[in-house]
Amino acid sequence: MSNELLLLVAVGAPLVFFLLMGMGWLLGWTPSERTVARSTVVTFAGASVSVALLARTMAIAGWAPIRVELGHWFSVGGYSFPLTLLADPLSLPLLALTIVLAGVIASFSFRYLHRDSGYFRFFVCLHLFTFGAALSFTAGSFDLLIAGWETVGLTSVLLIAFFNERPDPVRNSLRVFAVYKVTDIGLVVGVFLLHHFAGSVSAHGMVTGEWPVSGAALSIPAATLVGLLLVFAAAGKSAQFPFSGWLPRAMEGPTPSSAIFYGAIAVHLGIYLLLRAEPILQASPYLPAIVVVLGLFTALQATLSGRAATDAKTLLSYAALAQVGVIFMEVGFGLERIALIHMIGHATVRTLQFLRAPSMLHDYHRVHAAAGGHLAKTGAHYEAVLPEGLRSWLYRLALDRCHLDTMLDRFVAGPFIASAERLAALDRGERRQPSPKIIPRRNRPELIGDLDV
Amino acid sequence: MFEPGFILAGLAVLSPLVGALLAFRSEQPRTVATFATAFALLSCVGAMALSRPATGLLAIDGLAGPPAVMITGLLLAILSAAPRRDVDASTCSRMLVALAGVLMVYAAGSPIILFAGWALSAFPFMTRDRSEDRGERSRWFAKPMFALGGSIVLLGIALAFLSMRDPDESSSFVAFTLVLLAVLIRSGIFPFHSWVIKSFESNSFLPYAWLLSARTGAFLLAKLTLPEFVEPARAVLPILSDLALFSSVLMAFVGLGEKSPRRVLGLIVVSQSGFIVSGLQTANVEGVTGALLQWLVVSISTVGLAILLRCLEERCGILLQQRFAGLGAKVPRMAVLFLLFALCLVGFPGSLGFCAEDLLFHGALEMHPFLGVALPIATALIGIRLLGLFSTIFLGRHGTLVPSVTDALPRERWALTALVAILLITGFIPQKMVDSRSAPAQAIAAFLKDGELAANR
Repeated sequence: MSNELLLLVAVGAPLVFFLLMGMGWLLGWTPSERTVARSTVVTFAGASVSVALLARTMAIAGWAPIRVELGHWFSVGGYSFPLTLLADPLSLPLLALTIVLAGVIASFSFRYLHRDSGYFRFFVCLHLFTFGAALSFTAGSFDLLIAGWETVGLTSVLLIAFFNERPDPVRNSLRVFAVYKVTDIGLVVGVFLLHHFAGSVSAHGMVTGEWPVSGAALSIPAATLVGLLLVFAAAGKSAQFPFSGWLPRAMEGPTPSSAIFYGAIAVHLGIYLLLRAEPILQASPYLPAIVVVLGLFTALQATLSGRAATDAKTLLSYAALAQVGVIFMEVGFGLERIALIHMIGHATVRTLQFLRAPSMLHDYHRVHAAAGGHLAKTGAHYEAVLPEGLRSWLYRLALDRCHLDTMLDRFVAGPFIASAERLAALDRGERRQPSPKIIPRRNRPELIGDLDV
Repeated sequence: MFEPGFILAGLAVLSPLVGALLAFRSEQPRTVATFATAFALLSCVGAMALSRPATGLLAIDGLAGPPAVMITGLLLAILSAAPRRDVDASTCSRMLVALAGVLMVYAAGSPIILFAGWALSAFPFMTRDRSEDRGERSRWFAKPMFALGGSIVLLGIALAFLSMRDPDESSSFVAFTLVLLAVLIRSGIFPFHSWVIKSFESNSFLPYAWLLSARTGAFLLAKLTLPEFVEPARAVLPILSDLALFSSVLMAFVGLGEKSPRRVLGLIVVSQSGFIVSGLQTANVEGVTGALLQWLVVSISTVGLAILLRCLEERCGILLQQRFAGLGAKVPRMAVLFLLFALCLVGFPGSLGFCAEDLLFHGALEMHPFLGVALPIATALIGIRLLGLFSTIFLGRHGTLVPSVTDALPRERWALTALVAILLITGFIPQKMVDSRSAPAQAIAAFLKDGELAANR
């Protein structure tokens, strides 16, 4: 098999599953659990073998990048949308990681979601997500990366609202979607400006050379502006400061989806964007520092908030967030290879932790009962060295997740939505607004989550 | 004069008129209207295949072909999938007359026919709906009747100016400005958007959703490549473009604060109208092609969403306004169709909307950079609101509010799946569709850029 075909199979196999199952269901067919499971095994086995063969070929060839030109998706006049897939030392490890971890998650979920009413829905979303992530990692242009990026975002939101009979998952999924859509504006406008400044509508000419040794053909102001927008998008996708609040909320989904999305792949997508756009970041004197500061703030905030978390998944989400913050710092310091290795290692360990979390709790309770409830307290209590007042203040800060969501709601989302509602009332011809009820602060609804009223 | 293209275009216009007469008297108006529309659809397809370049009094050329087929197909989908009470004899007849008018606008080879079509397409919507709530609060100028009537009068005066024997520069300018005003009103661009929102609040809003998807205003703008309009176009169109862009973002923002599903849909229609009008002014092939594609995407998606909303209203009534009605468990296929239409509308990758938005972006690079910034902002706002609407209607506690609801009936499912399939298939393999739009886009772009009159579309 040619390298081109191998890459195509690795990326396209989950899409084929999604399309066949999705269209079949829409026309009235509901496949059995066994059919779904077997098709999933075939899909991921095929994709895994393809990636393995591709890696072997690339290793023999000294890790030279493989570029697959699939022609143009569409073209008009002088513009065409290139369908180019790229396997290089950055994208291939992440593609392999995605395929392998998604396969593991699928295998775990055959039993975990057995007889769940959303079994079929979960696997359809999982395959679409795998395709989206694989497309993002192997995209040969920023335009194609946007396609994969948005696919990952949508599937993420759909799986957060998986248990949609409860209002909280629905509300949280809406909030995550709002954060994604707002920060995605950064990516879209950034790519738009990238084309604009590069004077070209194709990917060629913007970034030269092969990863990690490459350079950007942009002036310092242009690189700073484009880079800022890309960092904004990456911060949203990877839940960095000040958008960290959505990650614990995303834990409402089933555990396997939390593992693959927020422990392994989706949460690292922002870092991948920064690694791919590293030449643009390095072309500006300010951006690396901004990335380092963002990562530092996030790591500190996540470490603090995680210590006050009361459930296993939230605790794991903060642990993941802290590591992602550290990886952001590595990217800012220009340590691309270390960041890549850290990302792969972190994704693998965190997936294991997420998948182990439910049974670990079960084991803990069993051991706790066996010991007659006399298990020793765990954890090194470094907090004990702090003064009592500072400890209380830090505890309150950690409980409210460093006030990040509160501040976003009060100073950004709140006024924004209130203005929209005021304008909508004006448009309806309501001259006088009903006087607002005074709601105590602790009982106020969360604003973005309440968009759906 | 009697070329096959002319005959087929004439049949496309006449068959709905005949169908309207028959449907009004028939015991089975829906069946009659369906046959008349299907015949018109076949005629449109035939006329589109035969009549290039446009000649004669009636001809469906490259610019008008795909919208003509689309608008006829959308009416067919409505007749197939709409609730029974929405397709009574009166409504069927009115919509068929309007279809004839819209097709006359699309196929017009002379100003008189254009004006006749413009008036005919609006006339059925200017009569008062007897079931309308009289306690409504809207002001008189917001009524669809006055808006549509006003656009007819404005276009009439403009054409009268143009028909002067030796139109000088000032009369061309006045005529062009009046035409633009008519376009603004018909497209519902801010500040003339109220009638669109109001029309979506009428008892049966499907005919209005369908009429707006015809986008006769945008079509008129695309067709204004007349030599005497070169100078006025250069002076006035940038202002129109900026106004349309402002309207798009503003309406998307207002939609975020709106609670009624119908009004949200109306605001989205208005917002997207702005992008289409603005995209037509990008003066390059990519941007104009993107705008023409966006027209098709928005029309199909909004009509699909409107049909779904209407079907759900018939099943659940006011419960749609409840928070987290949880209908998804009862009507899963309708939920998925709703989500797919919404995603196509906001340009999800793999749908035709993604291609349209990508082309609009790249078209905006050269001439209209604000569009490149405004489009993702408005799209994000619309996306957030549509997902909110999806959650409100389909997610939540199962079955507590509605004990039993029927999922999409076969006639609804097939019609709506066909619409979704068109958006997705043309999204995966978009080149044919893009090619069909790029030829007329070249003519429009050449006119705007160099003032050239491109005779061949």
